[in-house]
Amino acid sequence: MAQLAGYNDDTFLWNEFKAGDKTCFNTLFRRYYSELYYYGIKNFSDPDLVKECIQEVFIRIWETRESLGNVENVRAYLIVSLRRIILAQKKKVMLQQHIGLRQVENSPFLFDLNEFEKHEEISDGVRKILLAAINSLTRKQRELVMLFFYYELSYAEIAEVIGITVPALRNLMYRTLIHLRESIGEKSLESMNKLFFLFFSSFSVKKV
Amino acid sequence: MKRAEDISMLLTDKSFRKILSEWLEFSDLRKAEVYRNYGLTPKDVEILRQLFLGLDFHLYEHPEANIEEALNETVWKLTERKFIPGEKSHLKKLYVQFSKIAAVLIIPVIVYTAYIQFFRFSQVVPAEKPQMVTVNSQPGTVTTLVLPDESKIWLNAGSSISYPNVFSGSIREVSLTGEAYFEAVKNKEMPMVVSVGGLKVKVYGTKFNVNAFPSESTVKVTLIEGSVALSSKLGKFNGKNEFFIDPGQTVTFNEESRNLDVKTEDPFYYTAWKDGVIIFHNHTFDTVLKSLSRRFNIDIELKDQSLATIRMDATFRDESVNEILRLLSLSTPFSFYYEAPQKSPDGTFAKSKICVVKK
Repeated sequence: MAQLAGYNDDTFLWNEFKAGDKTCFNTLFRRYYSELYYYGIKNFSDPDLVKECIQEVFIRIWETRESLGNVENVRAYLIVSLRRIILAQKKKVMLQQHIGLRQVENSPFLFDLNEFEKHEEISDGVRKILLAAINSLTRKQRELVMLFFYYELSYAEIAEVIGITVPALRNLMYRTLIHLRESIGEKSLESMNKLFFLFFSSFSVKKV
Repeated sequence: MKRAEDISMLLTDKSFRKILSEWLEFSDLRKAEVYRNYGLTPKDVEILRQLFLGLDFHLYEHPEANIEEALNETVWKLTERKFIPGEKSHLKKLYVQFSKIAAVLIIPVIVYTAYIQFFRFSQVVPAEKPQMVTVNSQPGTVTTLVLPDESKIWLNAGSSISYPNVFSGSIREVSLTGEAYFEAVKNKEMPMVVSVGGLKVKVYGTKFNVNAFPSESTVKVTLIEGSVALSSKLGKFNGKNEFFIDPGQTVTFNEESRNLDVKTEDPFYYTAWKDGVIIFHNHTFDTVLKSLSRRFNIDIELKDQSLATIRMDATFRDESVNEILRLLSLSTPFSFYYEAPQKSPDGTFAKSKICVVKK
């Protein structure tokens, strides 16, 4: 039982892996592969590149395991590494193709409804409006929303991933959330009004 | 309690998120306590709960077999890279020592090579066979590149261009599919010839735009400044081998009817894409959808062909594809929806798809 608890604990896995335990290395790989892939594909939209770079992340941490420090959040550490390696790889590919070649723009993938959990308490209308609002965010804002609400990284960790300061990040989060709240504000108010209406109508019936 | 920030910032508070996720199990007393502590109305909490639940990402888990395959590949790559473990440090020292010696030895070699290159054999430079370089611009991206003669080119999404790594002979030959904007360097002795489809565009040094996507059977050449001559393998234009375009003119060559159509219009309509501006000027709806599809790297399907020939004018800057379609649908009777993307068996995601239907 104690062993089992150990395997669920990232810090335990990390320390054992650093000591050269291959089983723990494999467990970390299996645990984070899907998450890293999803992060990569949503932000860089190139399946082969993302797959190759995830492997590179794990190859590097294995090769340098003796000099690695203690990591507070393994997930954050892996995401930062993946992002760095993908960007470096893209740069390398561009240089190989032609000197002076520059990628001006890279349009991010859009989200769709399947990528969010379905909750009975929100109507399809609100879900669609929220989805449109999320798709209209800038690339950086969407990355922030994913990292914060899905990957549950802290501000300091996200700041390291995206490469901006914590105050700037808080500011960005503020603007993002207001935009999202305003988009659904009207719609959810409507359903609230309906509730009030039901409540009062049942009240008046009783009185009569 | 008066708050300085918008209520939505409460979502960044971990303990508040916990409250939202357990809200339905709360007693009225506890709910009232939350309203009081955070200074919220029931309406506020309802909005925050909708926002919180709406941001609940659903992860697509890779099939176990795919993860195992990726893991095996990684382990394999690791063993391949490692050579003679244990003696690595010793080998490394030897390598450093060796490179120091090599660095000293290479200096006379460089001097000797330079001497031979510049003084002895300066007359007899072997003519190297130029190699062809092809640059593709992926859908969703605009690429800029510089040709060996320093000419600058903007390559639109979904286009490709090929050219030799060294220009030699009497012309600078370039071939293009898709759309590109050229700023060609002036060289009277060596004109640039751009081949698109059956058409050849001959220039000495000018700014011009060529639009020839295979999905549209026309080639459009817009001249901004300088002069450009068109010629075709297929025949003559008005009895002449070459047809000259004036600055500001746009020539449309129809590859099926072999007709040339000359118009004088603001060249900005045709070159705006390179600055990230999307302009539709008397475009049919199906060409609008095709260009949006290339620009945003997304599949768009027109379900009702009766809409295809509707013509429209519009200008967009920094808008998302969603917003563009929404704005277009205000003046045209269509609506659109997202179709769930196909997830192929190897775990990769297909492109998102938008379907357009008649309203």
